[in-house]
Amino acid sequence: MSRAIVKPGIAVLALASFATACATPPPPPVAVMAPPAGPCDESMGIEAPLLLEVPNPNRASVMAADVTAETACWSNPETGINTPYVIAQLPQSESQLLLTVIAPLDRLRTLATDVRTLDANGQVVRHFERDRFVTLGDGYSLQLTPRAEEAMVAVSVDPELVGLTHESIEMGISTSQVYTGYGTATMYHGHDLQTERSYSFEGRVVFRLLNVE
Amino acid sequence: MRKFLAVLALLATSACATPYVAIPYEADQNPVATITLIEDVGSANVMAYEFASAGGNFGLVGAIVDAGVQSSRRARVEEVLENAGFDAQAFFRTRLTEELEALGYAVEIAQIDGRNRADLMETYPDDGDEVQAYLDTVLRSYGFVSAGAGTPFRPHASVEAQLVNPDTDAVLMRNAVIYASVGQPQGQIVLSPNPRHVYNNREELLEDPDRLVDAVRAAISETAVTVARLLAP
Repeated sequence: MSRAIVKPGIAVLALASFATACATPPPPPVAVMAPPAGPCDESMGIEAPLLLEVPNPNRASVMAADVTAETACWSNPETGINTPYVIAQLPQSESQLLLTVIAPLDRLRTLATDVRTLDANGQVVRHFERDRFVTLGDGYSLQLTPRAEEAMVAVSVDPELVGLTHESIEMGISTSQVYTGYGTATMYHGHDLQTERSYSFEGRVVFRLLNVE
Repeated sequence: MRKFLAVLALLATSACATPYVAIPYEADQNPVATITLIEDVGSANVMAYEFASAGGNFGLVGAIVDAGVQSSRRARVEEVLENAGFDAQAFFRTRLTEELEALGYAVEIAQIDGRNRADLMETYPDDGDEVQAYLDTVLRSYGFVSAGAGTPFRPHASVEAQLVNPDTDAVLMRNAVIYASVGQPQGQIVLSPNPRHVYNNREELLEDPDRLVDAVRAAISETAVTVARLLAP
């Protein structure tokens, strides 16, 4: 009786393992070219921001958020175009902080980030021009030193950037283990890949706060 | 071999190491009209390096053979640049000066001793009111890199820069720029190489000296332009 129960259980587990091992990974998300349908808020809501923590000296705290169709959206009066947005609260600190807002380079897309700093009332303190953005090793990024009057950072989408493509050549080294007859050895392999991505209304944004002692 | 191991160690630790600490320039907080560029931008030699080379994967004998191959390639590239009369450090300084002037800065050149080979300076002379801000730049490396056996060589340049107020010793800007980076260094600016400058092997690299020099010029020029733009008023 018990064998009759156990055997199908093992078979199901084996099948599940096999299916998992052979499952095709989902395709990478593609760039989203259309703004949120709305209706969207007339101003950004600052009631429930992500909370960034002050890291220890010479360390970084990292927080990420996915910007999707489900994210809060704002009808930007400057462009007349809806945009999803995420707000993160900057911690009060005596330390010198360096904030990097990063749109990681996904396989096919990069969030077209548009960054503003806000005061405690949600009023814009600084709005960063596109030429302040650079490609760091981590992605399409903006580095800023928060000022005393800046309480939050708002990330929305720059609609003029959406749809533009950016090509890059990515070089790196990967490793693999091989059996040599005497044991395993680590082999190093170079890769050199030409990639093309589009800026998108959706994607991931990462906030990295570094405590510069 | 030692360089290769150092690079691998760097790649292995980069995932958990503290990211590079950049300081973005806030022009409205620290307006500068005249930049004093330190003439000495380091003395890096040209490189023509294949990172994950075939020889490097085969123990001590492979490493010794690899060191010879790498050294020979580097010497040939250096010879081509010397025959062309190309001075990488002077070219970088010139391009940086041009770009800063195009942004509206007055640029002065200062001769200051005390540079270690590839490091930013630790102290700067206090020249009273004569110097508003020193721009300290180091051309850390330049030449060609390949990620590994079977991957092409691409022109490369790497620069670190900082702007310092000598009165207060405050660092007004600091950043690092890498053209054709092998790996994704956190916090450092990465410039993708121009796909036009691609060399599938040593023979292709060396067959057209003019093209080789143009490729190195392009890499250094792009890094200089990027450093200048970090100081956009």
